[in-house]
Amino acid sequence: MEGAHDLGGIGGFGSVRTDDGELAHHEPWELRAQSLASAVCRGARPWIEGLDPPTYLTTPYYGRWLLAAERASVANGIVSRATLEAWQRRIRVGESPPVVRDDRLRSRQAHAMTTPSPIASARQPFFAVGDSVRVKRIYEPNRHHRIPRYVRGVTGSIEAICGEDNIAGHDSNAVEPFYTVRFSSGDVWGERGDEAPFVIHVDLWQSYLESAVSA
Amino acid sequence: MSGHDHPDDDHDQDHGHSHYELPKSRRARSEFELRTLALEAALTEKGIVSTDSIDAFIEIIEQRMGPHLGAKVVAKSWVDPEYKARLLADANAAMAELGIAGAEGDNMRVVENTPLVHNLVVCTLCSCYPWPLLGAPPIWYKSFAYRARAVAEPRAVLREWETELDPEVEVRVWDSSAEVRYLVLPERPSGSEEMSEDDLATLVSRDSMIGVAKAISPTSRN
Repeated sequence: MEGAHDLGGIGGFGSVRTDDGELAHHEPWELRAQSLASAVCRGARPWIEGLDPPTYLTTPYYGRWLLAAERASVANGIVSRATLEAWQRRIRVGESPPVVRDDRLRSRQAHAMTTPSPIASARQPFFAVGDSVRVKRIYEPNRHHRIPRYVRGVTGSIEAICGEDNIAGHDSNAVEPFYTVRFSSGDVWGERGDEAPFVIHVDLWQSYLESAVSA
Repeated sequence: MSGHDHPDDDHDQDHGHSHYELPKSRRARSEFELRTLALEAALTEKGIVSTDSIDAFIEIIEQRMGPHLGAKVVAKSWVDPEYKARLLADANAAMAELGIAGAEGDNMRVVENTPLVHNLVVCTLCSCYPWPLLGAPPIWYKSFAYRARAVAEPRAVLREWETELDPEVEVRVWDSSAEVRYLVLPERPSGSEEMSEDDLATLVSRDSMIGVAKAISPTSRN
């Protein structure tokens, strides 16, 4: 998706630090919304990234999780829009969600949160550490991917082979090696007077990359 | 850190209970809360979630996970060079030695600050963050400003924390764009030579493990 979530390098957002920025969240519903999202889709990223830009940019962080959870629930056929709207009316007039205890669901959730599920190591990585690679230029407005705009077309070098995992945006069984790619700030942003050169690392799947001849 | 700091007067959060309770007015406090509760109700009805499965998610991320665990890992690596070598080579195995593991920390990499290298972690595309070591990310980490600026002007961002680096220090930014999660191993501050591992852990702030700050100086704290 070429959405508003791809924020690296956008100007004008102002200070990072704010008076209320230290907390993780403000209100009790927020982590509940995130928890619901994790229950209805395998990964929430595509659902959040697929929000239209005006909505994305004007909805608070956990509100985006809620919208993603609603969209995924309806799109995956878990609940109908009508059921959801009926419950919204009931909550609006003071009803509460049913209180249900379910040991199986609770322990499955606890297990998922506390048990690591490490990715496999890359069996046949095409690139080796030190290789010069260029990030492909792409335009995928309707498909989830994880290629930040700011590195597209930029040449960097393979810093690490991370392993292999489901490639973002492809069918769920496709696995592919992914790499940490090292870029110099000058190659990404040009030489600048206001910020000394620095290094940026971005983790990218193999098919996002092409070989580049070292200069 | 909890979410019970809501300023509304009418809320009646029972701190002893983890499951959700509406305020006495029985009215959701916002449209987002209302829609969250409606979705929770619909999914509970379908048997997709239960009240206690949601509570478990929140309890684990808020209470079990957190920067106290990241600090433990860092403090141990400050006093035990062999542990530090293992942590940098295979972070998950080194975390497991201390019983630390979990979602959003399945594939950890720890990057080390030195007198010549300063690391900074961000997720420009969303909010990827090492939950088992740091808990839920602070609001500023998820802000558009941080996500936009950390990869474009890291030193300017660091200055908001009054973190000034010498000109020769190389800043390395890590954009957590795929499935690896990053933790910064801050430098052990001077003046901490005599401190125990447990005391050292109190110098390791969450912000120092994201990379916007350095570890707390024991001399500045008195």
